[in-house]
Amino acid sequence: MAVKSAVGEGTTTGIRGFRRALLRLPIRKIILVILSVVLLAGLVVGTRANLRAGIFTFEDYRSFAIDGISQGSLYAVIAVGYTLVYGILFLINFAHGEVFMAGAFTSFFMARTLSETGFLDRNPVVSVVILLIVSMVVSTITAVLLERIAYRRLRGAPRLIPLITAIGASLFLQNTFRGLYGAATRGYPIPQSLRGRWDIFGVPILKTQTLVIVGAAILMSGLFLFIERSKTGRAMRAVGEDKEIASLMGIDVDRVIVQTFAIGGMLAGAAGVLWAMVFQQVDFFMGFIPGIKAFTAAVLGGIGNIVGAALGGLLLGIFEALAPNLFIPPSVPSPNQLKDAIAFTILVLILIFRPGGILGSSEEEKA
Amino acid sequence: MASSSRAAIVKSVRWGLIGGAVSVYLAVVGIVQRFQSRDVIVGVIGIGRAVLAIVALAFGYLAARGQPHTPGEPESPRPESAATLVAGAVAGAVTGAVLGLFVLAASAVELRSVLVSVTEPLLDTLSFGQAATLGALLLTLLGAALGAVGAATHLLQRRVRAPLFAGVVGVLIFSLFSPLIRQVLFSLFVPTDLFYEGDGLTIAGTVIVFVAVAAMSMLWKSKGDAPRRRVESMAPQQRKLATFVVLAAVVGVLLYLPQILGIFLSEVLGTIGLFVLMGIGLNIVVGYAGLLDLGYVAFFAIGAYATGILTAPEGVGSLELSFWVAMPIVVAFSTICGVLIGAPVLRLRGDYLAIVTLGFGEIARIFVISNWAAPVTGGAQGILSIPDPTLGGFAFDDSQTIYYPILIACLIAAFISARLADSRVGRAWNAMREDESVAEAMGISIIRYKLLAFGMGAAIGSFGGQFFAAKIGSIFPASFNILVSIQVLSLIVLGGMGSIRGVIVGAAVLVGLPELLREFAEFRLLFYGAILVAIMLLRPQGLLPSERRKRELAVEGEEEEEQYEMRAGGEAGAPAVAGGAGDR
Repeated sequence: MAVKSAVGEGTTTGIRGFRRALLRLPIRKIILVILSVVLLAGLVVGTRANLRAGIFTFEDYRSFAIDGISQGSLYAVIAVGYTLVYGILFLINFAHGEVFMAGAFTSFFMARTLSETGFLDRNPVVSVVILLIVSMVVSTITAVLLERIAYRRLRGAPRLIPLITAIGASLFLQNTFRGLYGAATRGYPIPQSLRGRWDIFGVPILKTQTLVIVGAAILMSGLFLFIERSKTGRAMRAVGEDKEIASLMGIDVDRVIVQTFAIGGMLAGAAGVLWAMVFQQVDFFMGFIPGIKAFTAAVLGGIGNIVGAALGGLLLGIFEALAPNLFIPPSVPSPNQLKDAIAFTILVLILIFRPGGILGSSEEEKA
Repeated sequence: MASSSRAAIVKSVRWGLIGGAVSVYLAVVGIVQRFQSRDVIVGVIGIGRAVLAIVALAFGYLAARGQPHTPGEPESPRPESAATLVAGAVAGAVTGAVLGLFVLAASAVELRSVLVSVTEPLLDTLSFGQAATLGALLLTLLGAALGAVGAATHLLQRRVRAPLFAGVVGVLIFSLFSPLIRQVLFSLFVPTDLFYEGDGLTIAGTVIVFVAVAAMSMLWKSKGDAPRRRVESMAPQQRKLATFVVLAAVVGVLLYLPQILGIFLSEVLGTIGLFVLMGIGLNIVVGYAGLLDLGYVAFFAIGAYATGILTAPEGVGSLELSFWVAMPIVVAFSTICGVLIGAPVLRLRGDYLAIVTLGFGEIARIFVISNWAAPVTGGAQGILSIPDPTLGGFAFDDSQTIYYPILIACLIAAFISARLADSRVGRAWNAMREDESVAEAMGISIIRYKLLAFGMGAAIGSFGGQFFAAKIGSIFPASFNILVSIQVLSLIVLGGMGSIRGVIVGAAVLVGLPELLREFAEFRLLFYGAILVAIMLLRPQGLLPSERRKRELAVEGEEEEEQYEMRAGGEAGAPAVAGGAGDR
């Protein structure tokens, strides 16, 4: 029967052949192509309309871009936490945003004390270092506890189980800190000397943003060197490649995983202080959106890849800062409300078109 | 012998330290003091202290687990009594001592400026109104006593333990749900003043409840098997009839429920119904097809907004359709949305799919709230004055009447869902969830079945949104945040993925509980988070797993352990594999 029909179809042309061809059309690909054409057209039309309307000057766009770079470098530092963990465990550590919040929120109390005693304005450098240390310690402890209590037992489980656990852990941490420190948003004090702008090559930049960009650059290059050069970094890469073989080579897999979480937490803690300095407020929910954005950045750059996280973070930051006032036509009221939607749209598009990210491979399914 | 007893002590101390950490956590997060405002037993114990007592009991019980058995009596399952009691007492004492240390520390150092919940009243609650040192001492002693009691349950025979446990749980339930139970008893013309004073049980009430529940438990233990055996011995024809009678009785009770519960509790019931509806919908996507959808709120929002736009007098076109005319349009629209959202992303691997759907959920929310979409969706103001559904002149205009259409929708959704699970489609989903590649090789069109699941889920979710709009009468963008998605996911996970009974129980617990226990509402999200983690760690199949899942997990568990041991390598690998092979 099957043979007969196969032969029959091989020889027939006309209507049946046409139907078969229609059925064989890659519908998903067609939808994707149409989607991308529509998007590109929208981008071009919107940008043209915006530039024609001339609401914003070049200086405006330049300052948007600087905002974007500063924001993006923070995304990059947080994204490292996602990338490192995913590279080793294939786990989306959904609670990483809360690790970031834990450090930032706790360091607020230190900052308040320093500010009340006047130490913050007198010794700004020492103060910032103290705040960084407090925040990094708290975030690191949170991250390590998270791994120990919530994730370790699930290491062999099907993927959705640790993901659901991570979502639960995220909710749990948020509300724990709400219970501990209260639900109110707190104003984060910053040193007097960090207020205002600096002129760098004739471009005025907020001092806090400069601090963020420089700080993030130092952290990222330090991390890169650590992963590439140190013995621990090599062990981490080995575990990411193959846990079994790594453990046969004498690497303590559990320890390496804890170290990974600790490094991610440390960087998240540092990013927390920098974030608080820029936005000057902290609350228990502050980690959620940055967490998702940073994950977006990690995916955008190619998850599992540190350079990718840096690149993805910067790109996402810049895109987010520019897009509402550049790509969205001026006929849309209050485009800045749509800022977050842009980040999520990028996430969705990246995952659809190039799940491997910019620096990753374009293969759709990874083992 | 000496070394083994030292090991036992170390183990108890470790359990005690964990118990202490849990107690301090409960105090510092604010649960203890918030709960203390209500009494379990009037004038004796508040919920806050009861929670701490339960912690001490539980850790005493845990520490005494697996004590060495009395030598010479290998058949007896009863452990050696002295060691057990000591283990429990030590764990309880350490638990109490840690909390005591916290009280001492908190009264010495001012913590209130950082930890907002560490107030004077909290310290009073913890130290029984005594000075800090005396309070700490009392806590330690009380902890030891409670720990020993917890441990002593190991020594009791099952026959005695079960009724005692049931009695305690009964007292807790009667006290915690006093508004519900009082209302029900009131509707049934039972006087409640003997039992209750304010929101707590009286001492007489406690004794009555305890004895009654314990007696019932004993009765069930000795006679409970009889009805089951009778059902089992019936002919298939009779058995079907019996099932039918039971179902009819359940439906009868469900129909009469709003009259018993009164207006406020019917409102709660309606909300539970909405979540059951959404749970059934998401269950198809997550439980059957294994696609983790974190943006499910989008379909809920689409249902609610589409209903609002089609039926409300304000807004676009002011169509003012009737609720029932709008229904098929809304469902069709939502299904199309589900398929359109699903089509490009269904190729993605599970965890990426989860994040993408989360992104879609957020995009939907941001879009709805924006000024851009305001002419259609009402922006931040939302859509007001959505008319109540009417049927032949009868308006479903209050919580007691709107319950009925919700109930019917739930029953229909549950029926569809149950039939789907047992159908060819359900089996295809099942296969797909277990292994996509193998399923595809078996001729299952992955994309088609995924789209089907997505579309079904979207349709049922929009049903939920539609009744939400009709029930509340006005919709605001704030009602459609990611927490709704997570709430629905939590109730599925709690009940057991793929199980309809699980969805109902999950909704009753996660949605009903915070409404009844208003002290609890503040910590609702904390509780959700804890439940998600705890269920995944301890009982991934959920409280009431479906039969099929139970079987799968039983098999899967063995294989997985094996695989994991192999992957972990090291010395554990070889024996684990050998053991696994020996089992077969």
